Amino acid sequence: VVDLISINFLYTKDDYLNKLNNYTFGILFIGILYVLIFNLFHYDQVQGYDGEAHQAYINNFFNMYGPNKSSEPSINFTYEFFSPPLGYLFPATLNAVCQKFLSDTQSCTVFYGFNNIIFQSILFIFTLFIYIKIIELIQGKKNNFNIHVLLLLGIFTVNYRTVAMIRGETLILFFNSLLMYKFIKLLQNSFEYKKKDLFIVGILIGSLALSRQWAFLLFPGYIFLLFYIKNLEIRKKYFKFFFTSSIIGFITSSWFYINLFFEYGSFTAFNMKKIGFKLSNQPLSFYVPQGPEVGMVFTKPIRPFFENQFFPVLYSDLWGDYWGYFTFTSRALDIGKNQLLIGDYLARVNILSLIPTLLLIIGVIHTIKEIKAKESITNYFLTYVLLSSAISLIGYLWFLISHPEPTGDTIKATYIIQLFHLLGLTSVIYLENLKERSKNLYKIYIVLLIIVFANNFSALMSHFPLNNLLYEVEYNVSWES
Amino acid sequence: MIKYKKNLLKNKFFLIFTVFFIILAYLNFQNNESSQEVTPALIKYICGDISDNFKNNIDQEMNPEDGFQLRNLYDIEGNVVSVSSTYECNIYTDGGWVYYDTGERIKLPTDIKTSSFDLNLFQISLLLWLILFPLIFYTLRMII
Repeated sequence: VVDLISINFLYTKDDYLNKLNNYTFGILFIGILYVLIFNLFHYDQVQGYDGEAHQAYINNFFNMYGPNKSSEPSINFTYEFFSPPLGYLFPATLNAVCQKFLSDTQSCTVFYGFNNIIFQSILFIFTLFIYIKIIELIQGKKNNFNIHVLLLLGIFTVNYRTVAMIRGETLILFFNSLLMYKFIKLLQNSFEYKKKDLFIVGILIGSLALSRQWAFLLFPGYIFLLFYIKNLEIRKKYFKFFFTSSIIGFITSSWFYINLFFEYGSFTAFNMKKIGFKLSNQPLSFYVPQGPEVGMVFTKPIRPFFENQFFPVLYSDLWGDYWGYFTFTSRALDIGKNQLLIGDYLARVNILSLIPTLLLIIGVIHTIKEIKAKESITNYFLTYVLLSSAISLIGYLWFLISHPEPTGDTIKATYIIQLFHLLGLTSVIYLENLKERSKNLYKIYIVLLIIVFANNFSALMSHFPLNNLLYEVEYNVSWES
Repeated sequence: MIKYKKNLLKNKFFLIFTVFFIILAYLNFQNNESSQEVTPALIKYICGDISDNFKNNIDQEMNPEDGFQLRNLYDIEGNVVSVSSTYECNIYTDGGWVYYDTGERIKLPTDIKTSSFDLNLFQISLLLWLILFPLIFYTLRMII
């Protein structure tokens, strides 16, 4: 009787926990949707990093790439000329259609800006769902309402800034999630593939290369993984598959880089002078946080404090808003709200964000242990995730050291957002395993993460007033018959 | 069963899209065909009239016609010919000399009616995403 009661009790408890999980997922998801919609109405893309230059890119997109390409070099149109075009294709197409059929330049800027935020928001939500699918593949069981993905990957403040601005990084996250999904599927099929798979992966590689140069940091991981795979048969198939799809990727994307080479003499042309890699390019404080201002990461984590100190700035920009692009950029100093209080609030954000940061670190350690313990299909994938995280971080550091900026202006979490998502994936897997092993510790983590999510919620949102321009523009649709 | 239904839905979607694009392409082709035709109305518009001999397919010598104002006709390559009678003009236009000197094809003036309405940003964006969202969604479903 006792057994029967306990079984009955356990069943009820599990059922109850499942329901709780689903409701929590619903609430978190609605919260994320709310933030995305709120930012849509309260953020003008021109307020983002180099907003004018990105708008100039969009406005001149078809002068640079269209069939009636201008003979002028792209640098004459925008100083963002070195950025690959894919992130601008959607708004530029909307702009072209708008200017031809609907309205004037000013109204079209509002039109494509508004719809580009919607586009990037949709891609971001799809990215989260693809992560859920990836975890399902790894765990081997269906779980559509995975709260770990929302709590660990949906919580980064940098996500929402990236989505609100004109940035190719949103595309990197999207295409990379798709590529990882295909990759793990192929691994589970021992690289038995169809031509369609080759084509899709090739196009994904090409699309990544055409989104932003940071995506190139995701490719070496696939090469290094080759040395980790000990099963000769899989290794052979793996090499053949990635070699062929890389050629498709190269054909898709190389034209842009070849064009850069012919116009500016380098495949990696940039709008800052490269002075070569030397550790001495950056001061010691860049590598090792020092000085009295370091403590301000947890008291006033906004510029210009702890200037050009890599880890403090990156941490503050990941969880908070170090550069103030959601509050007090120089372009909108007069309208950003809560400017006096934001420093104190972001300090609390940074303190509580130590919890998910700790989970990211634990996730990495757990993954390393798993990989060392045994060789398996899942571990091949996890090895790739770790390799790409390391390469992304090293590559970004290499960039910062080769292009030093005394103010540390190029230390922005957006540029390396893929790194945080990769680390987040390892933590999600850690939580999935913890759920089976130690329920109590797992529950503590979940409660803490929910608290962090609630506390950081305001940091995810724009602090600018309602964008009135959205209500002022009109579009005339006319046709002849 | 569910998977079968899903596949069926997916196939139906692509079937509808394929049919839609075939119809679009066909209509486009039809328009192009009809716009290349030289109709009697176009000949009359360019030459001012259609002569009885041309109408009844009777050969006649090309002599200047009294009262006919000399006019230039152009072909697609920009070659020019001066015609001095209605009959001569009819023959040339029927043969494809129906272009302006700029290379643009001469069109019959039509009774153009313009319809228009104003939309605000939200209405036009809604229209846009009603089309785009299913497209993005189904493209993604193809990969996953």
